[in-house]
Parts: sequence; C-alpha cells; structure tokens
Amino acid sequence: MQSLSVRRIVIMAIGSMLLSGCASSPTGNIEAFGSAATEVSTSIDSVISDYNQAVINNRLVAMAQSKRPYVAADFDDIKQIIIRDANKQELSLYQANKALGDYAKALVALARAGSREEIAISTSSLSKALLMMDSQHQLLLQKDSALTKDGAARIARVIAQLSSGYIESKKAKALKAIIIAADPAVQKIGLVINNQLLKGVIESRLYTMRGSELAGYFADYNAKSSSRSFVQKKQKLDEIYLKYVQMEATSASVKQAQSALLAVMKSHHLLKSELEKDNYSGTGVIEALKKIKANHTAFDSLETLIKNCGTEIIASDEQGIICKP
Amino acid sequence: MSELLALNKAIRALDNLWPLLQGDEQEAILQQRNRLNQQADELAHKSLTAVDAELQAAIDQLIQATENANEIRAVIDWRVERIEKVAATVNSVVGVIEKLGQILARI
Repeated sequence: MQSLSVRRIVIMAIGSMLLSGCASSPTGNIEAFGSAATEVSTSIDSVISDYNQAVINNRLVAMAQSKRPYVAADFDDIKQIIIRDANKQELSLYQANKALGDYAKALVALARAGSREEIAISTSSLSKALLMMDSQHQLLLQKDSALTKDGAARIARVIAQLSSGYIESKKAKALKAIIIAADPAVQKIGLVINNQLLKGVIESRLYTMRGSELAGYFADYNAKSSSRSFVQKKQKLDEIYLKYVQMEATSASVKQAQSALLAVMKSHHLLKSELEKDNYSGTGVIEALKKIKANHTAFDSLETLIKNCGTEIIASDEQGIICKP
Repeated sequence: MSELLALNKAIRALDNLWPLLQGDEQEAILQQRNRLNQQADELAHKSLTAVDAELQAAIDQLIQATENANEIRAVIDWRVERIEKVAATVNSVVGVIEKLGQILARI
C-alpha cells in the first residue's frame, strides 16, 4: 500500500511538472485562427462565384437591351462563358485562395488532433479497472483495500494528463514549425489575392456591369416617361433607386473580403512572431484574432458599411460608395 | 490593369449616354458599349488566370505546409489510438483477472 502511495505521488509530481510546461496550450489560438481563416477563404470563394454569375448576367443584360429577336442558339455565347468559368482551377485567385483555405483547415485539424477529451475518455476507464483489480486483490488475499475510489480516479487522471501533455507538446512543436515556415507564403498569397481584388479586376468589373443593367432601367423609364403620371414615375424611380443602391454597395462584399484577408495575413504574421518566442497566447495574438472576426462580420451591406466605416464615406468612380482606405 | 480601368470608365460613360438616345443612334452606342464590355470581360479573365512564378512558388510552399500538417495530425491520431488501445487492453486484462479471481475464490 505504501509503495502504491509513493508511486502515486511520483506520478502526480511528474504530471504536474509536465502540465506546467504546457499551461498555455497553443491549440486554442491556432485553432481559432484556422477557423477564422477558413471562413475568410470561403467568403473570397463566394466573391469569385458572384463575379462569375455577374459575367453571365451582363450578357443577358446586353441581350435584353437590344432590339434584336433571339433564338436558343444566341445562348451559345453564354454557354462558352459557363464552360470557361466552370473551370475555376484556372483562376490564380481560386488557386491561391484554395491553398490558403486548405492550409487553414489543416491547422484547425492539427490543433484539434488528439484532444484532451478523447484521451480523458479512454483513460477514465482505467480508474474503473484499477478499482476492479483492487477488489480482486482484497478478495483473494483477504487484505484491506489498497486503493480508494478517489485514489483510482486520481491515478487515471494523471495518466490522462501525462498522455495529453505529451500530445500537446508534440502538436505545439509541429504547429510552431509549420506556421513559421508557411508565413512568407501566406503573406505572398494574401498580397496577390488582395491586390487582384484591390487592383479592381473583380470590384470594378462588378460595379461597371451593374451600371450597365441600371442603364437599361433608365432607358425603359425614359421611353415611357411622357405617358406616365407623377405617381407612376415616382414608383418606377423608387424601384430604380433600389437597384442603384445595390450597385453602389457592390464594393461592400469585396471590401469585406479584402479587410478580413488583410486581418488574416496580419494575425498569421503575429502568430509566427509570437511562436518564435514560444509565446502561444499573447494578447497581441488574441487581439488580432478578434480583428479577423470583426472584419469578417462587417460591411455586408451599404448600411453596415456606412455604420462601420472608421474613416470617411466617399464616392469612387471605380468602386461606388466606399469607406476611405 | 490601367487598360481595364480605362475600358470600365468608357463603358460607364456610354451607359450614361445611350438611355438618353433613341432609334439607330441608341443602337449604335449600345453596340459599341457591348464590344467594350466583351473586351473588358476578356481582359479581366486574362488577369484572373495569370499565375506568375513567384505566386506559384508560394502556392506550392503552402501546399507543402498543408501536407506536413496533415501528416503530423495523422501521426498524432495514431498515437492517441495507441493510448486508447492500451486503456482497452488494461480493461480487458482486468476483466480476465476478475474472472480468474472469482474462480480462485471458489476453490
């Protein structure tokens, strides 16, 4: 009985020593980063899909604005666009975003691997096993119990903590090495995605294409203007105004994706710097993670864009109503 | 990129003009706008599909980092599986000992 108690103390001492070494588990922050980055990558993916849809809509707009009669063969042109854009893998934006999204998902999966809960479940049965062994020991040798229920549970807990401490330390080392090595690639890819969006390929095309659609509504309005009453004209203008607001807000969803992406790049870099110092849960990292979340939720409409703009709302020729960068 | 911006600007200018016109004049401006729109679409697509060597290298590097993370995760999963197996083995051994104890106690 004495030897068991001594062994128990030794095991618990080793356990607490190991646990104190990994008190600030890296998994929480890295998992949070990975999840946020995955969401950002998904929102960039939906910008790509919106853009592809807008290109098709633009052709339909051009057809509707023409006085030509149409037949099914006139859709061949659109078919070609569908075929071209269906192959998203060709888009550098898609490839870069996919690499970023897959990386973020892999970080989450690694941070979650061998969770404490999993190990705790498997080792909780050990306490039952120890108690059972003890009862057999009592029965056969007619001796007093060497182990209390509480003692058995404590031993199992220590085994669980030792096991998860070992796994945590393996994960911490791996995540540190991976994040440090991947940071230059994350920064480069983020910059390209951001620049391609910023450069105005998607944003300015979306704005221009929506403008072409709006012109069609004005043409209709103008053609019937003289025969309409004030009430009819006002109703039509209200309808057109709604379309106009939608067009002006075009940049909101793209801007939201851009801001969130920039926050991901920044927090990855911060995470890398903190990990280099073996600091897994610095306040800087936590703040950066909060910023990704904030950027991800803001700017989903013109109203929220105006409400959340920290600088100044300005009208841009290329992007519509925007928050001054 | 400046070419694309110039095309977009011209398209927007024509879109602010053609709704004010009528008949052949309107049709001519619309056709011109459509041509510019098509050019802009092709140019945008070209820009979006261009992958330079530096970007490709960064993508490859990130794919490698992703593979490393996945491999390490698989190793950790395997280790957790082993811990679970040890726990399960201890349990089954205890079960055998319990049965053996019951037999011995009866002798």
